[in-house]
Amino acid sequence: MLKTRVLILLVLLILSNFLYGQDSTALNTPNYKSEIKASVSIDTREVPQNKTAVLNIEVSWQGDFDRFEIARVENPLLTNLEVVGNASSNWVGEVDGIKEVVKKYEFDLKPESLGMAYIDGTFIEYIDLKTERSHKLVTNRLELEVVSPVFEGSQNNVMLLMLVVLVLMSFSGGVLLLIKRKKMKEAELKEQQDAAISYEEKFQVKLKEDVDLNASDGTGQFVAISKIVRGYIAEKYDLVAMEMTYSDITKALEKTSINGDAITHIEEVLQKCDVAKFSGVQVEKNNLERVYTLAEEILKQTGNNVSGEQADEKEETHSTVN
Amino acid sequence: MAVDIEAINEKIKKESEFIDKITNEVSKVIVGQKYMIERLLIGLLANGHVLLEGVPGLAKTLTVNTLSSTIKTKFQRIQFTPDLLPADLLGTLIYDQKKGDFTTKKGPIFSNLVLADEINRSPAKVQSALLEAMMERQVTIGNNTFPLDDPFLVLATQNPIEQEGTYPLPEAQVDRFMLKLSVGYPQKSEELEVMRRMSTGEKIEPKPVVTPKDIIAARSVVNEVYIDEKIENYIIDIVFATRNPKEYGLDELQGLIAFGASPRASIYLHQAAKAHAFLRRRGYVTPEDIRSIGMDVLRHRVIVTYEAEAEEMTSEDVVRKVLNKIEVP
Repeated sequence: MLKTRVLILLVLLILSNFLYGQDSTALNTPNYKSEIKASVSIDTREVPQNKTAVLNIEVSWQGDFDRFEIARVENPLLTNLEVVGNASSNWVGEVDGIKEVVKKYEFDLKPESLGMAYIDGTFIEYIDLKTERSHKLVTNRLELEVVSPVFEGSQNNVMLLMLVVLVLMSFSGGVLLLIKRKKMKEAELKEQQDAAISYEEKFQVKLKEDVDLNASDGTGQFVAISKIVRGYIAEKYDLVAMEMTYSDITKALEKTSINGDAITHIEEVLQKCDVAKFSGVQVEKNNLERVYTLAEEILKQTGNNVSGEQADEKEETHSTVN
Repeated sequence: MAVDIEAINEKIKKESEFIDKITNEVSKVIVGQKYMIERLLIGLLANGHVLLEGVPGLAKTLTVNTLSSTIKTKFQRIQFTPDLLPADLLGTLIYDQKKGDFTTKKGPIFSNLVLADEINRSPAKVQSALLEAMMERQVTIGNNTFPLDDPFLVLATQNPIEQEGTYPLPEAQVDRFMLKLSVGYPQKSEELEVMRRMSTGEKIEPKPVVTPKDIIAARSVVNEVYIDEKIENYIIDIVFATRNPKEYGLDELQGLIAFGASPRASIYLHQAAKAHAFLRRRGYVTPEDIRSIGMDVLRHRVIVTYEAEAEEMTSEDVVRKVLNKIEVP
């Protein structure tokens, strides 16, 4: 008798609620009113064969959370679908000042073949804690169509591309790091080599490389000698010699421990270079040779004088414009 | 291009003889102040006006007076006062009752050497009248325009303290002075000598040893002094560094300069450097000349911002940093 009643009620519910979001009135025992209800919905009416559809079952009632206890939710009865995942959650809150409890059950359904698929009623067994009696709810029957699978390659390609980019970036980063380390090592090595060479040796080499006594551009050779001598003074005696005039340089050098002859020679070299650079006169070869020899002499004379380290400790004698 | 430096040097040797004579005569009266005397001579040789700034009692006026005494030329001293009028300086038209016509009475500006003493004590209209005459080298009275004598040199003095009741020269007008000298205190030994000389009560009168003709001849030789392109570029770099310090690695000056030096600075630096080389009896300009004269040409042409003033940075500090940063050629 009861079975017949349930079947009639089920048919009535299917007819009255069309496919989605339909509420199914609680199937209470004749002693109780509809205090608990279940609803069912599905997220799509068409599902590609290679995708999943999500079935949502919601059981809700008004009142305290412990008014009912959901004893069991059976897996939905499926045709052309299979359950591949499920989840559940609870929500307790107030709506318009009335306490409400909502329990949600979610099923991921994967189609089996093309065509129609059906979700028959899902049975939810609950216990009315007031009466300590057990009851059952059943949800509506739903249908959906399984359509041809969709292409998923683009997403995979993007993922693949990202992976390739990531690998390339890591690789190039590694290569850059290696190059940087190599350069640092080379710089360190050069620094060590430079430290081993004295200022005098360094500028002696520069003098030989940069100055050509047989060059037709005599003035250019004076410019080169002037730069080398100034550069040497700047490094060895920590003076801003490139920005100073020759008289400023000689004044500043007088404050160092450099010997008087060297200062005289430096003054002569720089003065002669100035004449060649700025007077517009034709440079004589003898003069260039004399200045070159003097520049070499300066490097020899000052070589045994003050070391670079000692010079660093000296009081800075920078600008001269007062 | 080969330059006949020997010939220029020879001319310099000949035309610069009067320099020693002037220096000797001036030093009979003035003790020390070699820097000021040399700069005044540069102004005289480069045809540029000079503004002297210094606290009272540093012999600014006496030096200019003495210098003028050594030159056989017309000299006028004008004491600038708050009630001075442009006509007192330039001259005016006077009605001649006998002739029944207006005659021109030229003012004291019609001289070779004009000492504008305490120039900042007169109002702007008088300063403007003088400064216009300085640039134009001519004065218009009524309907007639009169050219000023050659050489015409204005040597102005001003006192940096006692600013009450003074009319500071606007930047545009200060720019017309080729050099602005900051006159400092004498050395101990110099001051001792000054004290001893003054205690005798003896008045020494310097003799006139130069004529305006000598000065004009010397000026033409100054113009012949060779200045290499490298030096010209050095001048341009210095002037441009005051305008765009960041481009010259002077990041610390960014935001501290309101206005950099004007093109007049480049012109005057060029001329003054030549005169400086002439005084050193050299036929060509070197970076020494530029650095030596640079501060006097640029200190009144670089205007610093309020930020710089708040940091107690003066235009001199800015110029010093620029000169010490720009690489000499």
